[in-house]
Amino acid sequence: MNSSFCYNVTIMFRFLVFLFTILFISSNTGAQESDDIALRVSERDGFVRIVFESQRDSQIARSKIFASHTLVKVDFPESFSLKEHSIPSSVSLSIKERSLYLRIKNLDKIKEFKLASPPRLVIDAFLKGYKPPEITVGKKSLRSIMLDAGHGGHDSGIRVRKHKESAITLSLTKSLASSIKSSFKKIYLTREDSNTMSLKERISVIQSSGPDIFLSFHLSNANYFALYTGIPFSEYSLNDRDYNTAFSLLKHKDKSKALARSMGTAFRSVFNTEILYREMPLPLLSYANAPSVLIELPGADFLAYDGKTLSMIANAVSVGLSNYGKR
Amino acid sequence: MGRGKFLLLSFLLIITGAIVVAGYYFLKIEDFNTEGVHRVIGRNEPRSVIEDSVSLKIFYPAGLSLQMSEIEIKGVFNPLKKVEASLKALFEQEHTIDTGVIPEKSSIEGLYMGIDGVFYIDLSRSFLNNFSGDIMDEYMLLKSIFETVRANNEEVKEVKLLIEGEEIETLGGHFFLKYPLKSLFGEEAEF
Repeated sequence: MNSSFCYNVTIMFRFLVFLFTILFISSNTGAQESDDIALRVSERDGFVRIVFESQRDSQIARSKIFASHTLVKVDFPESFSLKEHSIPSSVSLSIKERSLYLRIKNLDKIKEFKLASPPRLVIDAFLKGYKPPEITVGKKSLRSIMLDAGHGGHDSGIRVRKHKESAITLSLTKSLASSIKSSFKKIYLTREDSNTMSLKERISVIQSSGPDIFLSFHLSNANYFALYTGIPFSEYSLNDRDYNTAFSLLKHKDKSKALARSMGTAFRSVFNTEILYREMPLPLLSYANAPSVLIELPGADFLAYDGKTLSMIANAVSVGLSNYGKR
Repeated sequence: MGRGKFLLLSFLLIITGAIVVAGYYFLKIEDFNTEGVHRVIGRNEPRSVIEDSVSLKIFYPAGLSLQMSEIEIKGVFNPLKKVEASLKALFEQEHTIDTGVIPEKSSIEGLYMGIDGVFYIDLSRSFLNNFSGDIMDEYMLLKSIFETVRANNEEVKEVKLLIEGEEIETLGGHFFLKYPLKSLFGEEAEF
């Protein structure tokens, strides 16, 4: 009986050691998974998009990219294992230590982006003969514009004495729409009354209308004009739609800045005041697939928002748009 | 008891034990209600530790930037309590910095640390209703909350704001709040 008990205890002990070994191995395997890099390669019209996605910020932030002839080399700072999906036949892949080599047929040049949440390195490899979509900024190409009056309804925005930001921005967009109606085939307003409108509803209206230019109007507490352009809005869990949105924004980044500069110059000449230019992750600008600027007007303490002032602002915006179109 | 039955019973006990151990290992939930860590005070330890007090960093919105201020509190070493004290100092404006941005009567309804490193701050409705600011006011207020939490608890990876236990779309009509705050910060710049 005694020897049988000892035998059983020995078996139990061995089994426990076995179980803990399994647990230890599985936990280590789990830790290694964080070093996995997911690779997505897709052929587009005239270019190949290569996306590396890692769990570690440093893996992407400190990666280095080199391109020569048909070869693209990516050096990662830490060792990794690759989770690759389908790779098109025009691309061949090899790995040596912490470097990854992509051979791309007819490679001309590359553009790279580093995005956060989750950390991603995106390389657009443009092929020989690739022609970017024709961009004509002349007045004829600006056929439609969308004007967004900030806030509205129970969200009145900044309140200064009798002034409400939501009412001022609505009056301004209506006045502006009237003064630029001959310059555009179509003028959209995100809101035409004092009803509440959420950011999500505005984004939906912008995306369904697809304007050539998007302008949003707000008020500040400061004594200057602030002109904001968008930067990619890195979201917590990025799905394909959001991913494409980030790129649609990048496509219009320079044009948005040029539009902001044209507006700023016009405001300075009319109001002789300071202009602040800033990039911000503002969702309305992130989701508008067009050159977009958010204009923050000086506070009601610094500018009397009567009919004359609104007319002057509308005139300055009109001049800014015209100068942008003439670039 | 026959040997077969004994072996079967032992096997079941081991499996149950292993499941409990594995469950604890993989689904460990941090309990902030347990009191702080025992510390050995060394000869060269800072004065604040010896006096049983800790220094908290508070970031206040100040125009186009943040202004950092440090306060000392006694007897608080629990990470959650440290964050709570720092946020209280921020919202209740126990300071000489006039931000003009922090909504009046804002108070903390609850603080929760998610297993995924997301720190949830549940605020009173006054925080939402009494905010009246422009883009930079809203941005700097959100950044001040984020930086204050991160500066006083290194384990926090993300911060999410709730109002009376519910998600809100935006604070001042400019930025999304349906995602954690970190996504807003880092790349903004003048041009």
